Parts: sequence; C-alpha cells; structure tokens
Amino acid sequence: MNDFITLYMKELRAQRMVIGVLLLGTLGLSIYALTGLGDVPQPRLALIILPYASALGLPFLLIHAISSEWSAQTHYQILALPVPRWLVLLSKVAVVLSLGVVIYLCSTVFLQVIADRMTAMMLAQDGSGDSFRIEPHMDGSTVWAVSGIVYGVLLLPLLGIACAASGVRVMAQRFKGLSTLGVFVAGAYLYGKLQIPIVHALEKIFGKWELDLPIHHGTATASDVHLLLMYSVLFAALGVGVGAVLFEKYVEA
Amino acid sequence: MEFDPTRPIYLQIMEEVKKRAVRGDYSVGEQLPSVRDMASQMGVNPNTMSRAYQELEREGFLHTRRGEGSFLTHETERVEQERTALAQAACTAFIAQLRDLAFDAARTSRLLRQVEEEVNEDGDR
Amino acid sequence: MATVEIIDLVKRYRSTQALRGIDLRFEPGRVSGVLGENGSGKSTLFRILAGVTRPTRGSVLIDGENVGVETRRMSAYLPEIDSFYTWMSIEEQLKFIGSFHPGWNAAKARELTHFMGLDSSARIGELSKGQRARLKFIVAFSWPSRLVLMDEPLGGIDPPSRTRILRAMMQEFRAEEQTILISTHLVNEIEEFVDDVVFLHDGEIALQGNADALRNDRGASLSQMFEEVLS
Repeated sequence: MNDFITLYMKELRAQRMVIGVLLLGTLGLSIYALTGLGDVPQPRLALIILPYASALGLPFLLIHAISSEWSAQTHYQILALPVPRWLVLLSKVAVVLSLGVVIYLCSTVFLQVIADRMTAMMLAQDGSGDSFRIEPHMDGSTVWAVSGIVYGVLLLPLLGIACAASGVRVMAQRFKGLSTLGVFVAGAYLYGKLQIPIVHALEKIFGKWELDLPIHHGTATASDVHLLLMYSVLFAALGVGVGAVLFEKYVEA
Repeated sequence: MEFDPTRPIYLQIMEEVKKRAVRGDYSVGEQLPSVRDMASQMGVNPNTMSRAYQELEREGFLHTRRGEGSFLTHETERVEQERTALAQAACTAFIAQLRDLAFDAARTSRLLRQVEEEVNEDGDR
Repeated sequence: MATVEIIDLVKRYRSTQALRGIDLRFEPGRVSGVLGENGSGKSTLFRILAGVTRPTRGSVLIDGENVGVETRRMSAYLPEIDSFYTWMSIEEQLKFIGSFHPGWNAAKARELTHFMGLDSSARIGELSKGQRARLKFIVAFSWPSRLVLMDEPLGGIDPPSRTRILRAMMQEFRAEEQTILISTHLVNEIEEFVDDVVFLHDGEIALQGNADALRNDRGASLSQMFEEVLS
C-alpha cells in the first residue's frame, strides 16, 4: 500500500502541469458558462456541460503519463523498482481518476450555481418559454445524480479504453499511434455492442429503477440509468484489467 | 599509490608494505592500518588488500590477532631479511639493465663506485 | 550460494542477438568488471540482471531467486543513460527510490550527498553530467543493496569525478554482503578496483577469471587483454 501511495504522489507531482491546465480549464469554462448565461433564463445546453469538457483530456493524460516515462528516460528507474508493473500502471490510473473526480465536483458545483441562478431569474420574470429548458424545481440531489451518471457513463469507458490502449502500445512497440486508434475504435464498438445484452443481464440481477427528470412541464423517466452506469464501470474495469495484464506481461526497457 | 597494471596488484601491495617496514615507516611489532583503511589509503579494492595481508601473514611478515588487527612481525631479523631481499632485487634489476647496455662486470663495478661517490658528494653539499 | 547465477542466457531482438547463450557466476562479496566494447551485450546483461529487460531464453538467479520484484528489492541498478526525474530535487529523488528499498537511510543519503559535493536541494535538471554520475553512485550506496549494477558509470565523466566515484565506491563497498558489477569499455580506469573480470565480445564470453591471476599468467594489464580480445 505504501508503494502505491508513493507512486501515486510521485505521479501527481509529475503531471502537475497537465493537471493544472485541466483544472484551470474547468474553472475557465465554468466562468465562461456562468457569464454566458446573460439575462435570458434559457440556457443553451452546451453552456451547462462546457465545464465538464476538460475531462476529455483525461484519457490522453493517462496515455501521456505512461509514454512520458519513456520519453524522459525514467523508464529504467521505474521498471527497476521492486513493485509489480501493474501497480505502476494503476497508480497512474488512480491519478487520472482522481482528477476526473475533481473536475466532476468543480463542474457540478458550477452547474448547481447555474441552476440556482436560472431559478432566480425565472422567478424574477414571469416565466414561461417554449424552448427546452430544465425545470427550475429540480432539486440539488437530482443535479448531482444526473450529472454524475452522465459523466461516469461517458468518461469511465473512455478511461478503460485508454488503459487497454496503453497495454497494447507496450505490446506492439511499433505503430503506436495506429494501435492506439485501433483500440479506441474497437473499444467504442465493443461498448456499443455489449451494452444491450449486459444491461439486460444486469436488469435481471438488480431490477428496474427509475429516475424522474423534471423536463418541460412534466417529468420524464430515465430507466435503467443506474444500470448503464454499472455497465460503464464494468467496461472500464475490463479495459483497466486488459491494460494491466498486457503491461505486466510485455513491458520492458 | 600508482600501480603497474601488468602485474598482480596484491603482489605490488605486498612489496609496498615491505618497503614501508624496511624504511621504518612502521616499527617492528607495530599495528598496521586495518585492511579497509589501508585499501582506502592506497586506493584499491579491500579484497585485494585482504589478499595481500593474508599472503604477508603466510610469509610471516605480519600477524593478525583476532579482534585486534594486524601487526608487523616482532622479529627484526625478518625485516632485515626483507631489506636485503629488496636490495638484492634492485641490484639484480640494475645489473640486468647494464648488461643490456653492454657493460661487463668490471665496468659495472667501476661505474657503481663512481656514481656512489657523486651521490655522496651531493649528499654532503 | 553465488549471488548471481546465469545459465544459457540468450537475448534476441528483432534483427540482432545481443546475448548468445552465456553462462556466468558472480560470487558474493566481490567486485567484477564486465568488460566489452559497445554492442558486446554488456548493457543488455545488466538490464536483464536489473529486471528491466526480459531474457529470450535462459535462467538468471540472484541469491537463488528468479529475477523479479524480490530481486529488484535488493539490487541497485545504475543505467548507462541517466534515468532521473529531472523535476525532482536530489533529496526528493533519493527519498523516492529509497522508500522502496529496505534499510534506506536519509542521514546516509545526506552524508553521501555532501561527500560527493552536491546540494540536496538542487534540481536534478540543473546538474551537469559529472554531477549526475555522482548522484547515481549515491542512489546505489545510500541503502544496503546486495547487488550493485553499474553500467558504464564513467562514460563522459570528467576524470576528477571518475576518481571520486571509484574511490567512494571502494570505501562504501561492504565486502561481506555486497556484490558489485561494473561494466565499462574504459578498462584502464578500473584496473585496481576489480577482483574478477569477464570480457564480452559480440554477445559471448571471450575471457573470464580473477584479475590478478590473469595478470600473472599473461603478464599484461586488463587493458591490454581487452585489446587482444577485441582483435
């Protein structure tokens, strides 16, 4: 455990520049979204999700965290350490996940702020608009649950695929760009292909669950979103597992 | 200390220790520096130094007392033996060199006396 | 038990064979020189011993165990190419590596840092090549490693730094428990420091033995023997 923590802390410091950029990016996009709201209480959906966009950098951060050991020639040092190879990989995954959580937290805080401002604006006006808008009465926990689920469903599989791609890169040694692309394409395809059967299977185990989303003047029911999240977590775990196994088996200086 | 890399190092260390004893750098029966200290001093591998000490012990030139260290032999004769041996070796080498220059025995002796006088004069001045 | 036992070690890359099936033993408590020109396979050998490169075939045992996490725990590998996190300070880098090895001593690290004339708080990225070479030495000796693998520790280093490193190595060498392997093509630099030598040529052992015994038999220096082996 100590070894993992040491590796984790070192990785945090090693990637501090990229981490800083992504966090500043989140902050900047949040402020931009906030100011972009203007007086019109009809937010463009794009503004709301803008702060989360920094998370798109995370899969690349993971791949960079690994390849930078080679470009900086520190791979001799890290591979000579008395730790299992997969632990090295996991420590990097952990840093990326941590950053993902922080981006999520910051972005959702801003989302909450935006939602509250919209509520305030709509109460100030007499408000009714025809265009799509999120009902101002959506309570806080729903904001967090919805954004968390959407964030997780989108980000986790990407991270899993990025991890698997890292493993394939180490195995392939040549044509790294091509194999990375290949793994992402194959991963996305697999994610799509397995979604229905796996969610179905999970439904049998865990049962249905519905989330009521207040939309327009009523509510919409999002079914099985928790199962979708579960599937994404499982898929991500698979990707990480594949990456770790390949890394352990093939990595060498 | 400078070593001739074409000859075994441990032998050269042994020669150096003997020279130092003969010169009086170490007195008869005096404790010698430890293997590690001596190795550090001469800039060599402690294992090589260890071997040199072992060989010197085998030759009776030094004695190791457990827990105390290594001591130069008590026997003054032994050191004198070494003095003679070293001198003899130097002579042999010197004579070989002169033979190489086609100096016969008689000429060698004359040259030796001549140079010795010069060296003594320089010494007096 | 020999510290290192190598049986029929082969390392093949796509187009070359770096090691062609070598058998070697390194006995504990000795300093061994692995001598060869570039491309002789010595760096590959060290990388395999360090556990950072996998053999194609053959077995490598360190203290009776196959190379792996446990053998890496007791080995200090100093690669030819400097492998440091340049954004770390000397102190941070030593602490990072040290935290993975039992018996690492912060005080000892500081003492060696001082002895080597380095500043603990200096960033590694700002050090000269000679200073980084000295840092490599500290990495190996600030904890009680059992096997020290120094791959070309002297290349491109100014002579004063070279002497300082070799002398310090002799002083820190714990002959009771440590085995040191040094690879180099600057054979004249290590003449008085090695107990045994192995000459590698083109992935094979050309000559091996006790250094002084070889000198006795051949009446030549290791450097001269090296020239012969190359021809």
